[in-house]
Amino acid sequence: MDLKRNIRDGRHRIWWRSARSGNEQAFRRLYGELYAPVASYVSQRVRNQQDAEDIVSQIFQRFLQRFERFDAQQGSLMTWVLAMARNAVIDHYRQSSAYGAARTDTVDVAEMGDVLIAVTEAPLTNLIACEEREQLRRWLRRQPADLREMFALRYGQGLGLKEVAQVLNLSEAAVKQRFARATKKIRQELLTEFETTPTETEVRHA
Amino acid sequence: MRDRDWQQKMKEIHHTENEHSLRPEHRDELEHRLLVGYQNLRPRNRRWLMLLNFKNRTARFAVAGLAMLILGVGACSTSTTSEVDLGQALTIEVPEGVNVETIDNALSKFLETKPEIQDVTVTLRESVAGGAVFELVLWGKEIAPEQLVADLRRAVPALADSDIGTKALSGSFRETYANKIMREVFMFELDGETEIQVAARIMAGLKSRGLAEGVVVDVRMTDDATGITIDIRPEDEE
Repeated sequence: MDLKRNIRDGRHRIWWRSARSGNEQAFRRLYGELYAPVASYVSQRVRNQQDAEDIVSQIFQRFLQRFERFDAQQGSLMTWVLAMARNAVIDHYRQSSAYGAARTDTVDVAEMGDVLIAVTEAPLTNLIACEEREQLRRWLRRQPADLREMFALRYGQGLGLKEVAQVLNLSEAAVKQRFARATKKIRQELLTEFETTPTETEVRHA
Repeated sequence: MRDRDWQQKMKEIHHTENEHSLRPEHRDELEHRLLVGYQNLRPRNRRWLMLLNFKNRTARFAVAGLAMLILGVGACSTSTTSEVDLGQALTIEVPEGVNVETIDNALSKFLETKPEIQDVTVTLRESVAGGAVFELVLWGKEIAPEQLVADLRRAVPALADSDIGTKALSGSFRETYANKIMREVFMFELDGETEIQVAARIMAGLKSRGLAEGVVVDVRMTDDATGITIDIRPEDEE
């Protein structure tokens, strides 16, 4: 865990403890730091602004109701609230007409893989600016939804591997293994596509 | 493309962290709603300083009939300066490489062993040297800074050689003698005491100031113990 994340989590735990004993200022500070990541997570997955705002509101109401239940041994407050955000997005799509009212109770999370991945597209200028990035984007689209969600949490939300595992309710070992395999795949498939940029090893050997 | 290149590009693909498309005012609107919910769910901060506010309902005091207090009229109109000891501010430097989480847990455990500390405000920042700095504001009366730091170093060995700075939090305010005595005698927090015990406590406070002679203290609490009426009158009015 890097120092920045470590300090952030420590700060959140202190505020949580203080807010739990009635310190309103601590609660406000905690909310202030958690709002943006949650809003970002939701708004990148739910395009309708009104829906996204409603979902964010629900998440924080739930956060308040379950405030006492947070267990620091199980992970950070950030991952705790992002896991709530993930569940809220899943619930939203389960209930939305896109999936049909009749299927409300039967939709599998795996079917919603795509909506759990950030849908934000970079501006057009960014799209054409870097061919390598486009190759990577295409490569990502070919990957299974669960892996793409892992990447979204890791690189979109800036979570560590352990935190990704906590949000997805998986073991850290499983997440590490998935990332290790994916990294290997990227090296094999994309580094071959971009051989024009020599790796450091190649430079040293030359 | 090198490893760090694809990781950077992966971040770019997933867009900048924490950007969102919600209305800017949504944050404040939601905060307002949450605070209402929070205030209903949580007890207010019980920092002792709040007790200085006579109108504060959380102090669970309804002091009635104090106007007939047996203080002299002269005392009521003369003001005095009262010093208040609010606590200590601590700055703790944590060297780079020391796990902040471990220190945080150890600090929490340590502070829980200090009954004189009534409330704690903590901020954490990165230091210029690359480590971290804990800034603690410890609210409470009679916190001895030297003893506190010595105890802290003993309780948290990782801080044995850390720079720990202390600064007293204190202040003064002007008030009438009547207010001063009211504050000293009546402003305390109740914790399950009976009417008789509260009356005895007030009487003891008056006695220590030489004001108890010929005085009767009568305390009545509401059934839910959220309201108290304190009646103090000369003995001969009984």
